[in-house]
Amino acid sequence: MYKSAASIVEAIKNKETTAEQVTAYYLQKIEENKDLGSFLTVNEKALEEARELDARLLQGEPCGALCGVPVAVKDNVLTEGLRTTCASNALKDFIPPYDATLITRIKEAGGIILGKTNMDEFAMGSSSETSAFQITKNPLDPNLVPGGSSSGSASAVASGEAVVAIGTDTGGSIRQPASYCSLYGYYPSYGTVSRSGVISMANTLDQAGVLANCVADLRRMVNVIGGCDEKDPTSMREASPGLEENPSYSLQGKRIGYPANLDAFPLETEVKESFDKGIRLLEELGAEVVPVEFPTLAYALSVYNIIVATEVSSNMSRFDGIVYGPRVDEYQSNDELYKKTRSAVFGEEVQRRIAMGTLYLGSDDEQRLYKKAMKVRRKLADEYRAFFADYDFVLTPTTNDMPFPIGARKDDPMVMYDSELFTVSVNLCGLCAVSIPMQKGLGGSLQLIAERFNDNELLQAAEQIERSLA
Amino acid sequence: MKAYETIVGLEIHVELLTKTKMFCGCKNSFGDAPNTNVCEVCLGFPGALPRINKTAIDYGIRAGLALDCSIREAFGTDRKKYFYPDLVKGYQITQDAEPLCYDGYIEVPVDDEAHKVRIERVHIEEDTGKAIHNEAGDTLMDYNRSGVPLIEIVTKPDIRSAEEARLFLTMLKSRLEYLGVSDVKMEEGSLRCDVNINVKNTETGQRTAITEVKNLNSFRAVSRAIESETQRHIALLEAEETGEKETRRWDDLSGRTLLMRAKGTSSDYRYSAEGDIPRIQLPAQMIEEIQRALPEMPHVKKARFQNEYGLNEYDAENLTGDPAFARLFEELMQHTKDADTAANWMLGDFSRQVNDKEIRYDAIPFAMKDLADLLALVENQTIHLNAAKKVLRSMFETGGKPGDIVEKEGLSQITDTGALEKIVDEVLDANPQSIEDIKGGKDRALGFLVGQCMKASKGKGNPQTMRQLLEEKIAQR
Repeated sequence: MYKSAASIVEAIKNKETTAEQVTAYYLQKIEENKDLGSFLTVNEKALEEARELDARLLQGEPCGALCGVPVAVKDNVLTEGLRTTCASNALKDFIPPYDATLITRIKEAGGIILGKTNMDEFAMGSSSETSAFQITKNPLDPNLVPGGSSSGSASAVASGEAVVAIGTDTGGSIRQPASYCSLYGYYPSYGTVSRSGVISMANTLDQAGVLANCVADLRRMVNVIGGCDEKDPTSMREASPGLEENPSYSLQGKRIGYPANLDAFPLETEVKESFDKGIRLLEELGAEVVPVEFPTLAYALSVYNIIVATEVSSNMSRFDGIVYGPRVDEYQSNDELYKKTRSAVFGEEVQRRIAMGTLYLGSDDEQRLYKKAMKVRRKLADEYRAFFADYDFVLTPTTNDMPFPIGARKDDPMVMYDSELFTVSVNLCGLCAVSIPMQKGLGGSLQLIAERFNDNELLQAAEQIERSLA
Repeated sequence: MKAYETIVGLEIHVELLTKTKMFCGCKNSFGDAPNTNVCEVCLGFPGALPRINKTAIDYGIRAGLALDCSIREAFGTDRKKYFYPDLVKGYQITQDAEPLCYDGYIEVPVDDEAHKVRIERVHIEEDTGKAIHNEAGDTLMDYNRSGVPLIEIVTKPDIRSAEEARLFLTMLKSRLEYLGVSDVKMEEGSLRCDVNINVKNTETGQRTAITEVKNLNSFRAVSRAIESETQRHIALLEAEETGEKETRRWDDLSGRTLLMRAKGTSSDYRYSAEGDIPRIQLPAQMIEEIQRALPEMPHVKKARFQNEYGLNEYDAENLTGDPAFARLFEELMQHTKDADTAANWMLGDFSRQVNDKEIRYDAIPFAMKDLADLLALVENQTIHLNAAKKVLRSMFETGGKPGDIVEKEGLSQITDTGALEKIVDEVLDANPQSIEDIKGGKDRALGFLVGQCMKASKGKGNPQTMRQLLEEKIAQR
């Protein structure tokens, strides 16, 4: 049992173990935890790849930053030769012919891809319940959902099936499941991690990130997968995110704001308690924690839902049965082929968002809602910009609620959307954020938010909180 | 008598001659085996992201400047959504809100007056794949064209006739050829044109609904479609109808348009911002640098040819239609003085040879200096015109020097008066009736005799000298 990616790299470097042994251990754990439903596909070549790595190490190849570290990967990130489904029938049998840039970088750093984790279909959902294939259980209590959409990535790390996992986050899909499973979850600033080979949900909000047991692993992973990629023109210009450990970092004198009107949001008791505990902890660490008005925050979720739906509606259109996806056999016209195929391969939630996005972009009302949402998005970003002129961080609960029983919200999509209340504005404004669990086991988490590309300080601050909690 | 006005606007798609496609590194090439120039980006693979081709932006700016457009220094791209098998992503990356170029014009000569046809916009976008319908009734897809860079040029509804549309397109094609940004071949689909047309009754102000006409494969088809639609729309007005907004396709065989899509089924493209491509800010000076490097445009060159060489408008127009042809003319003018003669040769026998032999302007087998030498041989009466035409033909066939050809084929004029007099005497002896005719006042017979003399000299005599000698000798008889 390894505590962190660093401990695995150290053990292999010191020849205390081999990549093969480590991989075999985690494959065994996956087998034992099958009932949790974390993985959709296990990489059958993982052991072979670990053995090849061991052989190269024997020949003197230096140990990379992820040397022998088994990594679980959400099933919307392309892996060459390894089925990638987005948990959708639309890509049920899709074997990608190329690796996402972030996968290439993991492999180059010596990481071993363990397998592909379950998720909400095309990342639309907060519980894994929209997956076309299976429901993932929360390892802390199998009656509860693990959160989502990076559901399997969260349960894999929480159950010890993997030491770190790649997730993607469009409105909270890393941070919310991290919170539900009491893990650290990191949404890097938009542009930090190349989106090349990451299947788009809402492409101006999507970022790949990491779920792990400690801040150090978040940093290690993003230093490997992040940095400029010519295949993604929206990626950062710098070759590396350059995240550095700083044990002497101090929150002393830092200014942290939290939403003043927090009571206006429906917070569950445990969440509120963890949040208050977090404020006290930060004050003990010398930070100045003050309530701040964010007038536009109340609209963030509405704006988010409109923008996501509009981007989803075009990003999903390539799955039309012509080049991708299974095609229905009987049709009289192109239109019928599209309608029948897309009705058959997409689940209800995906269809709902496509329908909403199509509606918002229709010319009937001159795209009134879409244009308004774009406007409010800019206003919200302006509000944050003004805030960060005076403050270092924003603090919120990661979610307003605790993990709910499987099946409890299946028929109520609007409540499902609500759990992303505090996370979506980070994506809308291109900021960066970490979810920090306030305890082992079920309970609330803190979300620490920093300005775009202030990721280095964000992780240093989170690490100080982690040390204080331990 | 009612007066009708035809109102036409054009939408023209032009494929750009870039080496690679608009958003990926695939080869931009026409006529290759199907689906050989494709990759994850132009096949719209999940997870694949577009990377914009800078040369395509450069070419787009060139086109905009050549059409006197303003150029936008910062712009975004948009997604235009519809479902069709040739469109792999379910959306086309184009520019809706912020076209690269806007507010330009071309001045088209209509009834000896320059009529401005305004250009609303020139924007950059990607082409779609191509559906191939085979004999078995299957539809096969070729995605080689998917992602090929295009510019779309949209005019204001300023065109008033089929002839004006044809002139506009000819001038547009010529300018794009000058820029070298496209090979503008309508038959290969590198230039495609849709027509928007309606008709107005100028007395009552009543207008028909706009018809969009597609499937136009030549300038002639555009012209014919406008004529045919004008008649159809006038018939509507005469029946007190306005018709409905619809899309029709041109049928070249029957010479009329057929209904494609009626009103109410028109597409809503649901444009939205393309977030995968960051907004583009052109580097400072880029537009000025492109402007400075722009070649002389055909209408400017035409005016210069009129001024500099004293050519008439017709010749200047025809000499400047193709940039390579204009270049040859100017090369010729470096070695000769008589511009009219040079223009006559270039537009006459030279062009005829080029067309007959299907030679490209950059593959003429001789230098323009040689052509100038040939012209000089005519000028100094070494050979006469008919012989010169023969020499030119030979130059096209062998690439030889005119002097050598004249010598080899013995084409130089006979200047020896004794020899010429002998020929004239022989011809006169053989044609006593003609002498009688001429003396009786029938001048036409003199031409016949000149022809006989030329024949006898095997084309080497000078017809003027022959005529002179004939007149003298007939008077003596």
